[in-house]
Amino acid sequence: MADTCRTAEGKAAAEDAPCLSRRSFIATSALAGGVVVLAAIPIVSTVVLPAPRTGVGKWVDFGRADQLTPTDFSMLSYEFMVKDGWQDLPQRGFVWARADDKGGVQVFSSTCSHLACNVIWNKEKGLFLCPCHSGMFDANGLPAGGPPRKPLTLLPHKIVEGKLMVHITL
Amino acid sequence: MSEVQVHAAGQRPSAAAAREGCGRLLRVRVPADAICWHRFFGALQLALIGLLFLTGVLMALAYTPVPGTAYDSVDYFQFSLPFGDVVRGVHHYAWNLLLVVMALHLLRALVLGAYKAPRQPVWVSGVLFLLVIPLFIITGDLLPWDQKGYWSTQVRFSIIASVPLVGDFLVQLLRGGPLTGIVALTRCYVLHILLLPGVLLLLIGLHMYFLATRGLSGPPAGEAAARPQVPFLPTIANRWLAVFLASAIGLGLAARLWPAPLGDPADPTDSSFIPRPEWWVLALNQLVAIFKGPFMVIGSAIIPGALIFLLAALPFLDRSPERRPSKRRGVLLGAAVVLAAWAVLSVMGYVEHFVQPEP
Amino acid sequence: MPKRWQVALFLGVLMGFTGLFIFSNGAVGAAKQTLTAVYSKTAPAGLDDPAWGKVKSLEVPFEGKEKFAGKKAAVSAKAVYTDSEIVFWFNWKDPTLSVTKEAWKFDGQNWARQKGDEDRISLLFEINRIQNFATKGCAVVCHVPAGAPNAKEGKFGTATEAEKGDLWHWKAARSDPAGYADDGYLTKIGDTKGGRKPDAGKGGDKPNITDDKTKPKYMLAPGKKLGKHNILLAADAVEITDYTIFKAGDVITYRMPLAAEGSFGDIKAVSRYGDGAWTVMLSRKLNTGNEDDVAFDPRKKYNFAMALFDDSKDYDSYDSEVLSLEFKK
Repeated sequence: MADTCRTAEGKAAAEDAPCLSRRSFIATSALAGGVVVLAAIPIVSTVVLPAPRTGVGKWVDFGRADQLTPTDFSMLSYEFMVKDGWQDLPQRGFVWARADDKGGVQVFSSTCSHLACNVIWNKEKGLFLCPCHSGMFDANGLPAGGPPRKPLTLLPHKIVEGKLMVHITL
Repeated sequence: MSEVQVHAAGQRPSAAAAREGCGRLLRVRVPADAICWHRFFGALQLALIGLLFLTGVLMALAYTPVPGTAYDSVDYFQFSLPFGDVVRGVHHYAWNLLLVVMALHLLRALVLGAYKAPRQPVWVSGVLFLLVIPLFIITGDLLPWDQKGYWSTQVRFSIIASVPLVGDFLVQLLRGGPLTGIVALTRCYVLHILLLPGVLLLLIGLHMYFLATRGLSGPPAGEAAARPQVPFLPTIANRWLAVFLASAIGLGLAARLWPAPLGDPADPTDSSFIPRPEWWVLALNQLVAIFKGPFMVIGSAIIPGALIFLLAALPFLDRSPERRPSKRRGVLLGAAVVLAAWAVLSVMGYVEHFVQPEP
Repeated sequence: MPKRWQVALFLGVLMGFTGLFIFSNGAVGAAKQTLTAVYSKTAPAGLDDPAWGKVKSLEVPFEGKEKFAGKKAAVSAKAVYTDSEIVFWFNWKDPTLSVTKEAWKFDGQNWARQKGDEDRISLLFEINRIQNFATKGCAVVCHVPAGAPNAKEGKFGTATEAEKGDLWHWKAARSDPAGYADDGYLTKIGDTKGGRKPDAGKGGDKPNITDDKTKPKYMLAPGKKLGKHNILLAADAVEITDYTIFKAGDVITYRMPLAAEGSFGDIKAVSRYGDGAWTVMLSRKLNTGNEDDVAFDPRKKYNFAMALFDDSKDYDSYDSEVLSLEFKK
């Protein structure tokens, strides 16, 4: 057993002034930098990198398209499984759809352009009303009152074999 | 007496102004013998605990404490996130290595008599770690919700339950009910990532505080002679950073080469699964197995409890100022007997669980 | 003393790690067979590729269910993987070649469908974890007792929508002649439909039957050849215009294999029947990128179970216990 464990550095360092020399400052910084870089690798790869993934769109089948009327919006609800990190979870929601005068279909997202509450179609007033901040949109999805400045989002859709397919992005 | 000296006075006046800005930390000095070969265990433990905290936080960010789903999240972390396998592996190997290094750290202090006055509180606060670290392992083992973790936890719960009077209650408290299910998992999770780390930080703080106020033990022959000093910054700090870097890289490589185990998802209805005790618990497990029936408590509580108590009480039982190992045959012989018994029990356990074929 | 310091550091670390590696293999539970896929630069070219000779085979015991209850069977299994593909090789004894699958037979007067089914082998992997599949295998998805929440009227599936299985289904008469195994998946059982679904794409078989259900509708197109085991592929069929050309004893395939497209045709199949045994090779991309397929990551372990059908349908099968698939470089 060593009585004392002398080291060459120890002796030299003992006579150092209690202030960091340029050399030891660089050495400490380099080592600390190494630690930071080493720690940053898994932080970036497991926390930062997975974050910016955007939602994948999905074509959702809403059944017969000819049941839509031009006079009134129908609430079409959907539910499908989405991979959320490590689990498949059901995602639920609804869209507003009606037949337009040109024989096509108009599909609006139910998400208010103001702060993302669900807008509800009011047949009497002919408006979409947002329950959160009294936002209003007309039947063409344009802002008609309250805080919203942007129109409701029109969702891409297609009719395949008589069935209405809407592209929903989460 | 104190080795951490703050040189506020006695400096040359011309340099005083320049030194003023360097801060108090720069003036902390440590005996030069703090950086000898058998004295890096503490620094290594701190590095390992740092790694355990870092990797633990990263894993907790992708974890859900729900039976079944917990397994999916761990599987996702290990295989779907880049470097996930390394992070989980570092966590796995770091706690295994921590146990080894802790034992060596304790052994060194015991052999060199570092527990003697005035350093009794350093020793006692160190012994307290022996109570906390196993709790980390017990609570952490359940988190991946795989077969091994689940069934080992069941075995551990029944061992704890064998402790008279409080055992059953302790298990119920840990589980939060009669089942090892979502409540038990959540309790283990919160203990593992919140409460126990808090306790551990407190203990580290306490250990360091006593270390700073009571000083590092000097050469066993006597401390009267003036010891050469080195500045904490940069000498000691650099050593520690180097130890951290080396252990991070070493464990990272090990984790990449030999991935941390993840068994099948836990199936509480599968009674055919027999968990094998982990290496560090083989001796304790064997101790529990030796005493059968109503005597089980001797192996599960009385002997381990008495050992911990003896260990904590050592500085108050062995009060002579003599620190040279050659003059402390009695204490060392006692320690050797305990160590040998531990080794024999471990080997017996190893033979029973790993060498002999499964029934 | 830097040298002593280094030696000690080295010894300490070495000691620690030896300890870890001796003991860290943890717990091992009930015996579960492991099929190890061996890495190879190139995929085996066929059933007789010498590469198969170097791969150790796993003897998997099978137990008979329903009409085979009490009987046993065994399959030799091997697996090889490359950077992009996984290839399975199966060999099992079967004294009878069964590829009839109710083929039409003409007796000189009438057409009738013959009795007789086909030989099949199927594999089930997990796409998403299926509750207790890792420990109980097919007992939790395919052979659930009547009345269980995931079994209705002989159909089966998983109990929740989050649980998903990947079903590989090699059929001697209906998929093999077209060079693939049906790729399907298993999801939550519906109120009206079973949880067994075909993958996206095209494939399967086309019934060869007239609208009045009395005779076959198609025959081999001129200039084409019958497929393996004299099975008529849908692609080579032409509508029968003159039924007088047939003579007594003529046989025409009833279920004509269709060419597979898309995710349904992910699993390529090569097979041979000879010396009273089937040898079947199934290959697929490790990761097809399809939602309805398990993606294999060679770092992971996978659970799977197999079933064998000897000239039988539905529940009349031989089943394996759940097995583990591992990859070894």
